Amino acid sequence: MTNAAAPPEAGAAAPICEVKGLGYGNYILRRTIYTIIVLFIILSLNFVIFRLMPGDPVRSILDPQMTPEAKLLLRKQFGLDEPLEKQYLLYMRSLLRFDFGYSFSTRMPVKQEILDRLPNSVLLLGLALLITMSTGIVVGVFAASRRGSFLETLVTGSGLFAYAVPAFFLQLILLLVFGYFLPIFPIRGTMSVPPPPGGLALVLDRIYHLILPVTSLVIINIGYWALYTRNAMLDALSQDYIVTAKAKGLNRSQVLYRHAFRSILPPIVTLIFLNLPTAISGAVVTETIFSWYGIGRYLLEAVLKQDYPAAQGAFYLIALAVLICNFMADLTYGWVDPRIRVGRGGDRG
Amino acid sequence: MKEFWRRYRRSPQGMIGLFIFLFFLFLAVFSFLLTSYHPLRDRYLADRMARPVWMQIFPKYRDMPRTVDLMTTARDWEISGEPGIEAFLIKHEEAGVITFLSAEKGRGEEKKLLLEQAFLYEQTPPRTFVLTMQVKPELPENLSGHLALDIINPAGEIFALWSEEYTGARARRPVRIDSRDQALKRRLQLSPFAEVTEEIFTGTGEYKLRLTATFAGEEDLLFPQNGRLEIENLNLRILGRLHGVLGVDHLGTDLWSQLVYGARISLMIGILSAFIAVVIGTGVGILSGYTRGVVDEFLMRVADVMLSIPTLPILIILAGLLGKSVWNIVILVAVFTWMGPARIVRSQTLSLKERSFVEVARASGAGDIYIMLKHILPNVLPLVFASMVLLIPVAIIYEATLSFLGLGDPMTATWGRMLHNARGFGAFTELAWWWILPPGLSITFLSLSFVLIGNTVDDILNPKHRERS
Amino acid sequence: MKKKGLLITGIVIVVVIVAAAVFFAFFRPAGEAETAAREILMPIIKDTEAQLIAIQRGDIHIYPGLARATDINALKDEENIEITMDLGFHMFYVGINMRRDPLSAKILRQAVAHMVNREEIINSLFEGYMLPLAHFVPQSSPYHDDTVPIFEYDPEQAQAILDEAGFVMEEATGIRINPATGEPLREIIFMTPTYEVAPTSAELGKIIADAAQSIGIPIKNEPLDFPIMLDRLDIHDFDMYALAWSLDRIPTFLYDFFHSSQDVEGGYNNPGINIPELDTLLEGLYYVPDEETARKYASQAQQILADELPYIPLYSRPYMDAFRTDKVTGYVSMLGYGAAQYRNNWTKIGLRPLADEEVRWLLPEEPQSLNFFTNTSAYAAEVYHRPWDRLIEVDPETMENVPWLATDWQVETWEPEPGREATKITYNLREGVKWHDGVEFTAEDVEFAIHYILDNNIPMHISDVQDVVKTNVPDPYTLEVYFDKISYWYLIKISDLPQVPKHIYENVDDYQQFQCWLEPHPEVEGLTQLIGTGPYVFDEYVPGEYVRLLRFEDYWYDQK
Repeated sequence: MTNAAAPPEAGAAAPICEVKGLGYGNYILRRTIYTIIVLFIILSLNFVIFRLMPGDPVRSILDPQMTPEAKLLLRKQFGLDEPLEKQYLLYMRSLLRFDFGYSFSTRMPVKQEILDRLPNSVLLLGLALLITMSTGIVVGVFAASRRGSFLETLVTGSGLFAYAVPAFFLQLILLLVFGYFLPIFPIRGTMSVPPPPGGLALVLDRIYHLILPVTSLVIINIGYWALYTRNAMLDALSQDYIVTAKAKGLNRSQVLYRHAFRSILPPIVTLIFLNLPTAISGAVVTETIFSWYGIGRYLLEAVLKQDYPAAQGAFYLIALAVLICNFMADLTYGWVDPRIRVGRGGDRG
Repeated sequence: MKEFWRRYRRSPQGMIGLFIFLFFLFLAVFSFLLTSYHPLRDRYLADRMARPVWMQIFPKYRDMPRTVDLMTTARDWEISGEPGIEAFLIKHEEAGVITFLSAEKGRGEEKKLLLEQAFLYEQTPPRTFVLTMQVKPELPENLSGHLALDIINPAGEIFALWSEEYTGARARRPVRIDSRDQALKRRLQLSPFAEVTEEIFTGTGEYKLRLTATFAGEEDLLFPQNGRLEIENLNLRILGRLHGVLGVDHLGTDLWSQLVYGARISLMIGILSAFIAVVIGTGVGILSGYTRGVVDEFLMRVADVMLSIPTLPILIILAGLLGKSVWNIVILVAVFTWMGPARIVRSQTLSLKERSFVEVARASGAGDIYIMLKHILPNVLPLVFASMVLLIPVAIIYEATLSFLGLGDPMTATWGRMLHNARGFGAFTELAWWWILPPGLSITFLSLSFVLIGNTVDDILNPKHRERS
Repeated sequence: MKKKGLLITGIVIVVVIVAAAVFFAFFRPAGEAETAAREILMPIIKDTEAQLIAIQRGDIHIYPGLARATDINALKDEENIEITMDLGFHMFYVGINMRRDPLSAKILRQAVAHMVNREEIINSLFEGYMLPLAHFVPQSSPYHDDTVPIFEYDPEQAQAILDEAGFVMEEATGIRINPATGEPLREIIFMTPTYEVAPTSAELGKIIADAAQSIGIPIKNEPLDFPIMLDRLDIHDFDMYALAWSLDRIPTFLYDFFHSSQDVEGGYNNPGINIPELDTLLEGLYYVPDEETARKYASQAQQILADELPYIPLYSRPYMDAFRTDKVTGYVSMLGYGAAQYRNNWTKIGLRPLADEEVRWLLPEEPQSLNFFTNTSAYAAEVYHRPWDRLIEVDPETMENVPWLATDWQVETWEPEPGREATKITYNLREGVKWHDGVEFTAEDVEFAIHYILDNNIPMHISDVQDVVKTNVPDPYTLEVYFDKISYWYLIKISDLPQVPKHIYENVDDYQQFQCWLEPHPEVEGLTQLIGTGPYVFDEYVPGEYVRLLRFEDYWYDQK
């Protein structure tokens, strides 16, 4: 999984039309409308893709006991008899209510299945993001402060490597080494079976199962964070006002932490929201490798089983999450941007 | 051009990247030289999950058998015991045929002949063997024929592998004796889960194949002369437990072949995908940046929408539903990655548009398209080239990920597919690291090489990107 | 002096402790478990690697349904693992479209049958762990007729019959001429599942296609996505295909597959076989009055089928289940069903843990929904069959009917209209059987189940009860069911219905929405509304993780 999100200054999330400065509210409104339109487009696409695909799910329920009449009954129940336009309207309406219909393979409401799995995905990704971010930023700041050091080359090098190593391979290796070769960690699942009784034991058990997948995610993504932070810090450190402050004789650490770091906080916040979508998408792979009971794996399995409602529901959720993240990124960027613009080349105090 | 190469040569990262790329290119182009096996079609080359040959350096594997075919010719067989009648066996001119003839010597109900062939076996026991041959009986009315095949191990134990009764004349019939056959296990009174080879191959030394031919006539009648049993192409294949550079997978296909041919596919998919993406992106970028207005707005909106779609999930859905072929993957990846180059090209176009030579061209009446093609395009090419090179590893990794998840083309041996198979067919439980590491590392290094090359090219061609160092 | 004494005492104590530990480690009394398992825990582990490791490490005690040779090989050499092997009712076959030229020619079908080398396929693709099947009824079934002649692998014979029938080889192309048209045979497409979904099936397709090509029959194998394949089958747009059935001990499937009335769009008669003589036999088989006659009809039907070859049966997958012999005992091999499958009642009641408190039984897939009226997944069946009993059980070796909830039964006739006879079955039910919530089980529950299915037109089970005309419960332990036609099979069809407690389902209007396993029982605490009369009570299903069942203390059968 490559980190395809470009840093804010390249304007990946920013609208092509530049922020005019006036009316942040105006900007928010525009972005909101835009986001809704995009959502609509994605969902329509979703519908088109799935409905136009060949294959009829009822036919795959093969049972010598079922008569052709019985199968016809099932088709009615799945609503596959209506004309396409009607199906489309029904689909859109149900999505607004978060009603994803019934899974073809389990006949259970998709919403329920997704809700069952959502907390696990959130836990995994959230924890991974937290650790990656905090460690990555710290490492990046240090790397920026010790130019030319081994740490710095390590950081720049690792950023490079992260772009080239396929995430799934790294996770496979970790699994192989720590799950099979040296069976230290569990190779699957969110918890032991049956889960140990008692609050503390339960928590520890879950942590035990989280270690491998979270570590793998951290290793994959930390390079990017460290690299970005380092670059942003260098940028900030080369600002005139910093140089001036140094000339004034301010302590090295004071300069670093108080001024430069604070100034890069805003784009880092934006970066969080930019990075989330990649993490969410990448969850599919992680969850598959570690047999994690989450949404990503649900999507993959649904696609492999040709279970349309399930795949649609999972995709909708993922696309929604991504859209929200991008929107948040837009918001923070818009809020942040004028300040950065003022800071650059300004304040020569 | 020369200048470019000179500057490129000076960059250590560029040269490393180039060498790695050339290595894989070599693998891809000369795959037919590097391996004689087809990556998918040549199966059962050795016993499942046979280890690479070079693992012999470890004492545990030193004496493991390689796949061996004991094709026997008539000459290799020796008559053992009392020969029924001399003229029974004919050592046929054609090497692969053994013919048994009944001859008219005297009366008696049954004539028998035993043939034995010895072979030396000095390795650790194999797990599987397959013996094939063809039998052609031609027997007159009052004669029946019987063939039996046994194997005798150095300890003298006899194992009845197969026997069959014949009457009349039939066309040539194939016989296959497989050590995994349940019927054989029942004959040898072994459990369905026993390893026949373990029972037979108890030590090193001389093993014998024994072929017994019997003709049975009718009591008190002159023994018929014209009975004939022909055995053709008798071959004992012992499946090896060591094979090749990287061993074999669960079906016995050569893993080195898969790795080598996989280079071809990865390179092709990566380059083609990136190329298509960049062509689309350049077209869109120039058009957008030059014409501005509604066209620009529209195209950039489209790009925005596509960027808002989570890439891997949509690729999974489309690959899963559109059918799993290599071309689908190439196009899908291109369709979802052109936006990056488009943006870069567009911003470059925007700045080029203001340059004087464009003004001049417009003033002298040149059409828009002409300007776009003749003036803008050549100037964005360096940028385009750099971004294409950097897009290749993205494409390669997407394809590998999709194949690993099971959405790739099952009939094509890609590295991602190798990892998928490794996961699904027991490489992890067997700790078969020689199956798991090579494809993954190959993906990594190939991608890395393009990243290095791309960065170097970018640095050289687009100096203003070099401000951060 | 004292110090020395202390030291010696200390050493002695340590030695004693160590010796005791060693003793108990090696000579732990293998507790002959006196009672049935107190709890069955079914961990859900989907990944094959993880499953194998789990049984190797003792995290699970029972691994049902070993299928792949890789997995079998991984387990069979382990000291404390036993793998049971039982014939099943599985049939993997090649289906042929008899409506279309050139496969409409019987000789061609027979020639192809001669080119199928079952031994080679089984040994090379499955490492020998399948049973070759050339008959139309699997060997485990009582209705299997061994005397029916089959087509052996014989390439020379194949070529001989083709030549004789006029399918001469054209030397230039290597393809035979179709005598009906005078042209070379057109390409025949053989559909199989994809390598992705079923690699052995796809591989097998290739082997057969190649073999046929070698004697001039141009068969080409085409791996297809499952839904597409099924679509094509439904509209009869195919030449050959490979699929599998999971059959059962009653042979009525022969009617479903080979009666001409089932040759409709979406029907199961894919080959399109239409032979009046066969039709009569199959009708007779479907509405047969007793077992004897059934055997006769089944035999005759198999004779015709073996000659006509609408299918070329290939192999049957035996049930192979792995058990940790140091953790569990009391499992019973069962003909047709395997030691660990949900239809095996004897393992269900006989299973005892040896070392641990609970039995850990692997569930290889998410059951998802335990709504037994709508469910189609075998894994869900694994769960909800455990709390159930059946009216009539099956002997594990002879497959004969064994009284269970029904102590006795009579199969008679009655006259729905004057002059026409139909089947009437009387079941005498066992007294003192309780549902898990303590309510007594009576004939009304079975009657209720029948009518519930009829009234709600439940697709999954409607064909079992559609011939029921009326029912009668003269006393709480007697059920009379009156049918519209004559058929011996009704006995088993009714017996195999799901257990539907009347006192719960009489309040359920929408069976599709009702999630019985999630609804708490209105009276009994800790119980859900998924109940039965069987030896294990459903306790909970934690999605993604496990299912838990607890021993039913008031079970009517004395399990000891």
